[in-house]
Amino acid sequence: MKKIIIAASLLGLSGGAYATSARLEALGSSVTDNYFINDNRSIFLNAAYVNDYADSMNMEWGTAGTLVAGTANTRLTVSAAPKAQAGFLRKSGKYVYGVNLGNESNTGVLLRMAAEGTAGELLQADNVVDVFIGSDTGSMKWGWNLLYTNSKLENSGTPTNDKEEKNMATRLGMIMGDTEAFANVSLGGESKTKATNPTEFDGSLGLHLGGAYNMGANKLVASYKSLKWDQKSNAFTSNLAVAGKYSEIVVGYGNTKDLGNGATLFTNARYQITKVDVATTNAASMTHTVLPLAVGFEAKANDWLTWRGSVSHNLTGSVKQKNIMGGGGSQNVTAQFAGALAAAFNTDTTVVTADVEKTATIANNTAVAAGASLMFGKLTVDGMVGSTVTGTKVGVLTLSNLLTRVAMTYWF
Amino acid sequence: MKKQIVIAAGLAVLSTSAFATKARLEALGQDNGGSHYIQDTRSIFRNAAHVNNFKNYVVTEWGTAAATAETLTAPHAEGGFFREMGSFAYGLYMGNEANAQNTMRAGGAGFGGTGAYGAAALVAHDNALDLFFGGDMGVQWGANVHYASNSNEPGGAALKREQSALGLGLGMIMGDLTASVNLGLSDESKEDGATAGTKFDNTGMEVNFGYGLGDLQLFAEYDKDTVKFTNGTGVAEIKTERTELVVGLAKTHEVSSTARITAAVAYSSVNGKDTPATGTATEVKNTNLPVTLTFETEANSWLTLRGSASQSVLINSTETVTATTTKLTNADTTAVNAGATLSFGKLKVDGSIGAGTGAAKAGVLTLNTAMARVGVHYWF
Repeated sequence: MKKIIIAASLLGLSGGAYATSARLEALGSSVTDNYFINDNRSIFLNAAYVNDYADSMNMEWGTAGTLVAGTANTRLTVSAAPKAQAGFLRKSGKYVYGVNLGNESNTGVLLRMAAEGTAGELLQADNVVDVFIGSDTGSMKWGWNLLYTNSKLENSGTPTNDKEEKNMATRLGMIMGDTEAFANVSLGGESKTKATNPTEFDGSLGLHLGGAYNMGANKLVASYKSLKWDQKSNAFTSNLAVAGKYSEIVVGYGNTKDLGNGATLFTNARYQITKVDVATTNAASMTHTVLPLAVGFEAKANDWLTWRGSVSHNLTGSVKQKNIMGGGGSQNVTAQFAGALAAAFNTDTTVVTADVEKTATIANNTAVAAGASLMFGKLTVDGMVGSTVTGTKVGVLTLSNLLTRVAMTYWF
Repeated sequence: MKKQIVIAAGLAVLSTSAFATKARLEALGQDNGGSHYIQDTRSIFRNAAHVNNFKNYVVTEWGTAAATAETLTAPHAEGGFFREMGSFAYGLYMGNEANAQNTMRAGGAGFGGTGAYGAAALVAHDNALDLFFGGDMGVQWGANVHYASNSNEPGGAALKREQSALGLGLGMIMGDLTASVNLGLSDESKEDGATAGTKFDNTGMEVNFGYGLGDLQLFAEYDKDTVKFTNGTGVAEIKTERTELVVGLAKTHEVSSTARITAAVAYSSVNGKDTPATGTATEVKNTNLPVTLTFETEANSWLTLRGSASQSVLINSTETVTATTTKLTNADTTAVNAGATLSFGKLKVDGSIGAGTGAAKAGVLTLNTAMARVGVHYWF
């Protein structure tokens, strides 16, 4: 059944009162890159938003995430099995500082899979620590973030089984009047084995640059993301070294309309192009192009309950692919990476003929989401509504899964 | 399951006498045997002197009667009562069993994860009883005696199997200074039947120290447990040992009289060593520097909500030493927990929320299992 997802930018609905992945997802927004909706998750896109969410503690329920099929240690965070994470922001004089634990990137997991010859071979960026600091100078808000991970496996008896992973990134953001800008830089992430023919993922400098301009209730956004890496894999003949690139361009518009009585209507549309290229012998490429329209609402039902919902639909959406199929030797990307791209970007793994380019419309892209916030003074409990424990939505409001992707936010 | 780190701090304001139970402590990311910095009735198991601070109540923890290791969704039944008597306080608690050792006693692996340090025929540490007594004479003091005795005489060729345990806890609270020592004097199971001479022998010691500096709390803990096992007369004895060292600091921020948040960091080193009769010993050393954040607030007159998050930062490894050495970073140490207390005047119902029907917490609030590890306490 077609669903419509409406996402809205919340610029006016007491942005300081709302925070969490569940809220963003219920409003049809991306949890990772939220361009239109003011939420405490915005600090991960534009670190200057720490100034708007000071004196709060946020906890997102979950476990280790969902295990990628065929692996023992590669996990993604999805709505039905989110990863646990939490953090706090605290104001001290003119400054705001904070720490967040466990905000792991699905994109990072996906790209590392490109290098793996064996599923789950590489250590993922785990136990992430984010440190934030920012300040409001009166004329400008700024924020800075540092991200760090470091994992190892060492075996003195079999040093060729050793593995290591480390990752460091920094985010810098500013908000000056109606203008917003951010620069998020990956300073280098690598994960590798110490085998005789090692498998390595070596990320070079990655950039996510962007900005927004607010014109009253309207917001224009634009961003560019680029991540490059070099990989070696024992799945490739002679341990061939291969380069890869991930890029994304977003241009969008959003509108927030205050409907009165504590209700807000959000509308946004964005044009997004995502490209993945891996220089295997049969050069693999994927271009994912979408223009989703999202409409969402958020309304206070009473003093303790806020409802929200959204419908979204691609006005246009297609995937163009070449050589995105698994195979041995050094000809193609691994079957595991091909599967991961299919899950994330709707590529077709049944196209197995080399150098054949396929373009297809993205099917079944109408989606409806709903969520609620239970408010107890300074404590808010957010969650998705209408999802089963597996994350599927079949039009049912059930008490078995009253709220999913639950998070708690406490303002102090 | 992700580990949680618990930081203890002196909580003086949020009606601490109203809070009790394992569910509360676990929701706050603490060890349910008592927190170093969050006061709870469970603190009596870490420092018996707290019997002076928590009195005139009855507590029951819902669960099974089984003597095997308990889990969040299959906890053990236990409970007790505590009462004041002038400047003294006393209490009786039933069912506080040595779960980890019972698993080992039944044939489970040692603290290093290897070997079999028990046998199915051995009688478990069961039907335990704890007696508490304490006084406040400027300095608060307390003592706890732990006792368990069980036997099984099947008759015939199979002769007697028996178990006995005795423990002693002593504690004091003098202003900002707290100190306690808990001794497992003996916990012995032996079998004189089909495999005569089978014997499981556990002794242990726990020393705790705490010092308050305003809203900061320094704390330290040292534990040592030793289990010796022989699987019959003339069979070589094997030994497994566990030592733990925790040093930490916690800060409590009283947001209001009905809400508080805490942040804590602790260095934790846990070492388990299995020494077989022959061959190489196995040693597992787990070193962590966990950070724990907690909040607890009265949402309204009948509901208190709490939550915690913890993760190891900077120091996070498990080293296994056998013939070779393996060292790895512990994965997925981020853990978030939540809990609630339903208050009906003097009667309170605690529980963990979001645990679902299984051990996994998938971020779901379900009314199928509204609360897990439920504990009910009544204050009189």
